[in-house]
Amino acid sequence: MTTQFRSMPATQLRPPLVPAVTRGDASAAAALHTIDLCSSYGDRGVLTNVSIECPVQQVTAIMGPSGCGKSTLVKALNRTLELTPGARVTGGGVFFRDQDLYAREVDNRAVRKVIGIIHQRPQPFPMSIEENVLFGVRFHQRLTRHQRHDLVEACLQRTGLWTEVRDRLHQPAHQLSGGQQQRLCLARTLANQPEVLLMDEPCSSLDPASTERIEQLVAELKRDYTIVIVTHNVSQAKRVADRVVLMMEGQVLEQGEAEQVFDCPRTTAGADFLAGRIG
Amino acid sequence: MASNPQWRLHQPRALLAERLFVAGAWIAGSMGFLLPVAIIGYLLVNGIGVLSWEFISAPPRGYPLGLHGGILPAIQGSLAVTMVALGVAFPLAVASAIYLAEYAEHPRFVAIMQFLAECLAAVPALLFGVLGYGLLVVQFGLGISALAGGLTLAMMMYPVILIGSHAALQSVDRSLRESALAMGVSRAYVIRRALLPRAWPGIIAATVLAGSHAVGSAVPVLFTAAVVQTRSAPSLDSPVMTLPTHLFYLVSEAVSFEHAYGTAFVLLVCLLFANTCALVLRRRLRMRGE
Ligand SMILES: Nc1ncnc2c1ncn2[C@@H]1O[C@H](COP(=O)(O)OP(=O)(O)O)[C@@H](O)[C@H]1O
Ligand SMILES: [Mg+2]
Repeated sequence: MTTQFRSMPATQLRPPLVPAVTRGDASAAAALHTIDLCSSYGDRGVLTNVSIECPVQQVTAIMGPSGCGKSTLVKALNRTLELTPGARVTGGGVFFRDQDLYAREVDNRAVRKVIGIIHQRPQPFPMSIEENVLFGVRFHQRLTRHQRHDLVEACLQRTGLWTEVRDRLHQPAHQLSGGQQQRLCLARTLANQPEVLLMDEPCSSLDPASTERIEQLVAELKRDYTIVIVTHNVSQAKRVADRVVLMMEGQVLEQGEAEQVFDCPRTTAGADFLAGRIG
Repeated sequence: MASNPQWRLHQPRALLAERLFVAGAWIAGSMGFLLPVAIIGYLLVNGIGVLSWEFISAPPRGYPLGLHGGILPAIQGSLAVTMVALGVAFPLAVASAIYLAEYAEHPRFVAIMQFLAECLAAVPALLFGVLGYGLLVVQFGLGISALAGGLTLAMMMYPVILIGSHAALQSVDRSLRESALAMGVSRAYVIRRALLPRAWPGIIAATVLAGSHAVGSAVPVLFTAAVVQTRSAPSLDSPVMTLPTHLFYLVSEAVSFEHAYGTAFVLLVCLLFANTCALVLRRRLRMRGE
């Protein structure tokens, strides 16, 4: 089922993607990378010269004390930062398969579709569970009733929600528990057929059981998606991450393979953070 | 222990103050209930003599006109004028509110527009009547007609609906907007599917408020739409009778106070009915908007 909806022809997508943003060869090492990215809120700089790499089909964890610019960075990765009044990218660039996402001809809607984002607090839309899943798809694609039904089932299966909600697909989504809402948000993002999933502290408002559920999902999903997850929970990062980016005060402190960064951090500040002595 | 006054269990003064406060709150609260009930009761008692099926289904008769018969043309006229006003003001005001809340870029521009709308809402009804007469009736040659009256009322309703709808849209959680736009969909799609469902209850509330005021005010239609008597069913290009102007005529010409009370009662019942419908609608929409 899953492979079926993943392979729907890209030509059906609306708005049309800029050619280079479409599904390319998966051989490129980094699905997503930034070069000297700078951004600011109004006059206040928040990110300075951030260069990171998020390899294909790996989980990249972005860590750092709160207020260091993690959310700003992930939002910049799929061009949702510009939705915040006053926020903008002031320098450098974000590249998806070597396509500059901030180039003039790139449609920010197409970027957001291919690079989905899950926020810290689940935000179900004011409609039924089923319609939540179909929210993006109804805009991007024209599907038959049958295809829509299959898609809803596939996405809810994928996030482990199907058995829990199959009898109440038409009930308002806000009736779900927090953990279920977060998985619904994941399901509706998957329905958009993204290639990259950005998750901004997806577990920080959830109970331990839901947190474990989400971590399992991350481990399963990385086979099909490139995942960037923000967390300031070191043990969570140890469990899920293949690659780690440590940030501090809007700059990259260190980055590399998870084992390397966790076992022998290069900087003392990094070691202090990982040992729980900072933020 | 009893020697220390602070330890006394019985504190008559505190108890008295508490009782007085509760009584005061009760009286203030019951005003909100008593006032409308008293008005309706008063109108009912004084107008009961004329209330009958004929009163709302027949045209006025007698000399002076209105001494006998009913008020059907006034009901029809009020309905027609209000429909025109709502049909024009509602879509325009909601569209303006959507523009201001979702598309306008500069905060200062939005603030200025909001200030102007508030000024417009505070303009006395009489000025709208004069403006409607000068502009619509004379300048645009609409004549004294249901259309001119409806448009005049629309001008009056527009700022009220605009302010209410704008507030309703602004009160929708910012993060809902952001999450929805992060799905890569257009702003119009987000407004239609995610924001408006949340905002409808507030928009309906503002519309009912504006509509009720407009239906009940005589002044704006007095110069632009109303006549003392009509024979045909209301049409856009001909003058109409309306409930408030009929009421005004019955009282000011001292035709029949009983008929006046009856007319006022019917007007009030119509408004209550409209408000009740709106309440039900809002409940439904609020449930769906969650
Ligand atoms: N909307 C905003 N306007 C102004 N400053 C902001 C805004 N959002 C975040 N900031 C500032 O940017 C910095 C980084 O914020 P953020 O990216 O949210 O940090 P993190 O997610 O790592 O906790 C913080 O110092 C914060 O105060
Ligand atoms: Mg954050």
